[in-house]
Amino acid sequence: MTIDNPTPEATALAANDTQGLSLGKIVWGRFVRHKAAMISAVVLTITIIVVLSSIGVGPIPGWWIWQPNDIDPTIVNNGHPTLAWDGLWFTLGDHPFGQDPIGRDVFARTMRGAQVSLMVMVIMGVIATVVGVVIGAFSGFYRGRTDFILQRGTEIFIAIPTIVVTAVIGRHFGASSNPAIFGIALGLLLWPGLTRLVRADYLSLREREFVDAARVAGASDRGIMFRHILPNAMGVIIVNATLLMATATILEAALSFLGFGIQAPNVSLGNLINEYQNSFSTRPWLFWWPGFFIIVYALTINLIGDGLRDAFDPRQRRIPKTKELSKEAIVKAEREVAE
Amino acid sequence: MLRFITRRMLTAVGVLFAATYLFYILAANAGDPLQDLRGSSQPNREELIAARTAELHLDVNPFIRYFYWLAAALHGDLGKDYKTGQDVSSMLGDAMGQTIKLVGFASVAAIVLGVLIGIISALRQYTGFDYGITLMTFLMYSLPSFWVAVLLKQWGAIGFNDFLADPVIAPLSLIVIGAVMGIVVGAAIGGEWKRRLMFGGIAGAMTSIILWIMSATGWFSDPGLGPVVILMLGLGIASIAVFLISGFNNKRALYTALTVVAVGVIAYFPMQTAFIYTSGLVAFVSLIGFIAAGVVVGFLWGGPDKNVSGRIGGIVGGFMYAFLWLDFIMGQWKVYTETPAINGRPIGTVGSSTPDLSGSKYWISTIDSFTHMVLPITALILISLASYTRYMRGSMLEVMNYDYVRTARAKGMPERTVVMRHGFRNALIPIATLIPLDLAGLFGGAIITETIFGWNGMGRLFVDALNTVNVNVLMGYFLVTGILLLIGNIIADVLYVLLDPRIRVE
Repeated sequence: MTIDNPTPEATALAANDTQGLSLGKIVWGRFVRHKAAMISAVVLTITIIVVLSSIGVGPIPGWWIWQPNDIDPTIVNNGHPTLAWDGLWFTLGDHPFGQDPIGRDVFARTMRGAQVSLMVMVIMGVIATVVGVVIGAFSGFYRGRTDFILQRGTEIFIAIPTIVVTAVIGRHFGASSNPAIFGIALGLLLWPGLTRLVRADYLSLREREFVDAARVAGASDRGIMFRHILPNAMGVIIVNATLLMATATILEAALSFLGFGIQAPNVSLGNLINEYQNSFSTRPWLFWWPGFFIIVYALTINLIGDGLRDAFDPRQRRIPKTKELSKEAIVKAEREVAE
Repeated sequence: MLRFITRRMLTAVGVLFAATYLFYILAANAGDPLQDLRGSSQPNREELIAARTAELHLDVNPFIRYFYWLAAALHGDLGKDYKTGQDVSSMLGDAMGQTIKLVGFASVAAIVLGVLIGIISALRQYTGFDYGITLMTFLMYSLPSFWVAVLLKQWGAIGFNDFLADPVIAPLSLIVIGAVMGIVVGAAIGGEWKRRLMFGGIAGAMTSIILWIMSATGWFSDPGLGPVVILMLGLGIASIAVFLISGFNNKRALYTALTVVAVGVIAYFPMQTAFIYTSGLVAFVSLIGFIAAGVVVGFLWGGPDKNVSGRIGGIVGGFMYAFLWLDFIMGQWKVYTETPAINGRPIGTVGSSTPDLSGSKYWISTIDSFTHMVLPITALILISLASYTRYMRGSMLEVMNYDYVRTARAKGMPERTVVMRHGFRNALIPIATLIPLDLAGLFGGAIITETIFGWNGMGRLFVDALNTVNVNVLMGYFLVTGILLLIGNIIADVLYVLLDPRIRVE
């Protein structure tokens, strides 16, 4: 709602937001105030620390005794999860998430799956963002023929089903055994959505005065595109890259589930679910944990993306209640309104 | 406009050519179509390999082989499935029928529900209801579809069937369901605390009591509505329609709605006989007939704005038929569950129908396909509902902040008119341009849901063909989905221009 006569709160809010701060600080300030996003950021950080440290990464050992493919010949408690609540804190037990039918530790396997998903997600996010931004920038900045060709190319990429490409890559480049290649492949496929948004942003930003100013000052096309316009388009890019990563987590899991993604003996959250779906009636926990981690990833990243969107685009922002603002700010603003 | 469409069509053909070419190369490299023969121990192995190589032109490089396919496709021949020898076009036809039934139903339900929830959420911005809905949509957004589908299949089906075998709701469940319902209604209704408590309390208590009556009278094993409930439902729909479209001050609209409800309830008795002879086509024609009758009643009550009355009459008429239909099909439920092929466990998890269902008349087979669709449709709705809700909420919030909405309020329009005429209609524009693309995408099928629930739809066809490297089938699939997607894209653009007069084609 547009405010014609600024209330003291609104003035205080505006002052609170922007007074002598850089854009980065303003955005950060708004992001921190977004509760769901902050909680998500904390949860995601803790999850990533646990996922990386538990079974270790590559040569670095972790604190957990079992590795994903270790077989424990003694099946503890019929394979049931030993994770328990002793009134004060969780106790892990021998196999906190239980064991699968041949005795492998589900906790270790889930952690490895979560590591793989994380890796695919990050690689994919970086590549898709870079490709999407570059193509969108050229398309929106040069318009005309360049735009036409690039946009038709984008349409072709949208039309081709992802699953076919991953099937081909899996066969020829061993993506099924190497998550990094799989991540690169997904990155090279999922940029079109971002491209369209970046292009739209560039189309409008290129008409602004600062672009003329930069050109008069002798900046090159590349310089204008990436040094002058890009920072102004950063909001759209960061928000959508985040949301893209949430999508990628689910997509990776879905492809692995169908057998066109990461395959055994490699472990990913999707292929764990696929592997264990038939033992659902006897050992449902095999199925719960990988799904739980997919949801944690996707949900926290989606909420962080939402928080970033609110932070970058204050028009749709949640206005904090008066009591959340500092008292001085309101008093000061009241004085300003009175004057 | 015409020039715009023509130009878009021409570029679409170009894009389609390039995309099919790229797709062909990819599909041809997705695996080895001779794999099953290479590993076989049949004595005529070499001959079989040679025969299939000749049939599929495997000795030709894929970059050129594409043109063999293209030449045949331009003559309307999409080739054959090398495994079964079936024509690809007939396979596509069958699969599309299944997919439209499943995904079409789910999409329509998701759109309607999403729009509804999105609007309420936007109108109650920053309330507990809004936050609750936002959190729910984010959660649904983040649910992996295959996980939900497996869960529904393994848990939902068994739980549902166990419940239907002994349909008694425990007292605790009754209270919990009632409480949840009360909280949701109370939160959605908005306004003063007292008002919300009252409405929430009534809704919660009503839910519990109705469920208790249903449970105590064995309604779940032998359901039905009967004329009294149909009358009550009809009055409910009539008041909602009148409230939303014209307001109760419009007496002619109100009389129209009430007349149509009365006609519908009277029609209950002759329809009991008519329904016995109903088939799918007859049911559809009858629905149209009821809607038309409602429109006519509206016109007869007429007055200066007979269009409004006509619209209300039509909507109420359609719903009245739906209630009558529902009542009759519920009457068949007991017969259905007691057939030997079903044996008291009606909710299916595999396929689209029970294979050896005796006496598959219209009603029984409709129930059968319904019981098979419940779970996959639930999975699909859960996944696609979130994005529509988010979209509608955002769009409605934006529209409600526009100046023309403030103008409408300022000149004293009732809130209903502001929301429905000025807000809702304009908020639908972005959604309306999304829908053609989504409906086009719908023909691609739901790969995961169809695979898990064993539906022989487009998605399943595609995955199976990919597993056996059946390039002809893959190309047929891609051609259909690609063409529909490009057309959907063009329709979306045209619709945008038509709906929003501020946008002009260059």
